[in-house]
Amino acid sequence: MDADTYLLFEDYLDGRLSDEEKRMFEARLTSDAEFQNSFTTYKKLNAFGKHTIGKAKEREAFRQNLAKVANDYARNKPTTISKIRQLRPWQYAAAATVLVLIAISYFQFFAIPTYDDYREFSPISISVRGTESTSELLQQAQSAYNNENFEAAAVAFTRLRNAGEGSPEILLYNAIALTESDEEETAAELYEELMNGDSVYAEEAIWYAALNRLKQEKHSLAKELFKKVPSTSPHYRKAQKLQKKL
Amino acid sequence: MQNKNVHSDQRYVDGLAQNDTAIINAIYKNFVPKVIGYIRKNSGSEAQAQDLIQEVLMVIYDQAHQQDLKLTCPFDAYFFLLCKRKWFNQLKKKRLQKVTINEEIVSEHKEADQFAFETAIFEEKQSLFNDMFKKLGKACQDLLKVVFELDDMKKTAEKLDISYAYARKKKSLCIGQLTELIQASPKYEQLK
Repeated sequence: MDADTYLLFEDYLDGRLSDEEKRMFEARLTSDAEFQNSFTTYKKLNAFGKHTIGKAKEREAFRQNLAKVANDYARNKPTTISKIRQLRPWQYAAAATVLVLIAISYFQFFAIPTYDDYREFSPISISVRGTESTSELLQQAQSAYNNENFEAAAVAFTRLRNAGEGSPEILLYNAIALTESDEEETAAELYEELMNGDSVYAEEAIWYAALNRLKQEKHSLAKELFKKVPSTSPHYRKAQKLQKKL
Repeated sequence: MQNKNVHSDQRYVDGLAQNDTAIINAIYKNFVPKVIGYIRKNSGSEAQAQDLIQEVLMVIYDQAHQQDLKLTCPFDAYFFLLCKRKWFNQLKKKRLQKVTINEEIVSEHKEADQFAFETAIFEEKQSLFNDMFKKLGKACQDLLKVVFELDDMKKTAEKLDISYAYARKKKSLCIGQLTELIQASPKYEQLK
């Protein structure tokens, strides 16, 4: 179809055609199969865009709600007991031991993991060939980070990046500092930037981006990210375990 | 199918479309155990069943928003059939050919068959639309994102600093390009 025809589709969908034009349009729909096929696809694409792009937030809210209900369901599923019979004392003792073991393994294996279970912290040391003022900022950022004063570290790292020191390494530690200071959404944007890049920190960013979502208890987003941690990453096994638990 | 009487179970479709937690809970309570039981009996785990169920409910949500989905059959039959089909396809993809599904993938409800079929086609088309959207040029992708996010051509024109007429023309050209990409894909013929 040519450009004028696509604009005609748009006019028809917007209700901009006169009665006569509309009648002609509809007559062509019944007589011209190619015209009809193209219009049907065009119309569906319009609905697709309005929903998946235009209502992306609502769609994500639904996905989250679904995951929450599914989670609650999996945890509270009713169990059925078929028979009741009298137990001997030693059987009670054995049953109690088994129950304790089951409870321990339940908490080890099935309890929903939290960010705090997996957060790891190690001091950093970054070097840049910057100006005097950026070196000073880097010192501030680094020492705040190493003292686990993450809010101050996040501020200093952000200033550093604004001053043009936007290396992937700085971006990663800025994001981690943001996660730690409860600025998860801003952190998510930085992880995204790293993941889309081709630096050596791109893989590392997936793991931390997943932990960031775990901290927010956005379990399905976290799960998807954990799944993306490649087998070459040192976090691969933990990521696999976590995504199964979620 | 639109002319027939809408089934009272339409409330489940409407509830999903409105993200109504009580309805989602009711679906989990009433219909999900049967699906999990079925998948576990057919080489699947509970976790696989849970993921599949969420995907199926997501598709129903999308379809309810984009098309006028009006059920004339019980939700149970429709939902169960959709899950069965999807599970069967997943097994096929994994080439677990030794695994046989004990029964035919059809329901006693002919209408449920038809609805499940339409939803399956809808899902395939959504995935085709998504794939082709990524193949569009960046300029078109960016323009369409603004168009759909704002859902208002006047605001779109203002934001992009172009005239209203030009914004509409560009939108129609970009969706036109997407239409052609889709029509040229081999998958399109199968889904028509």
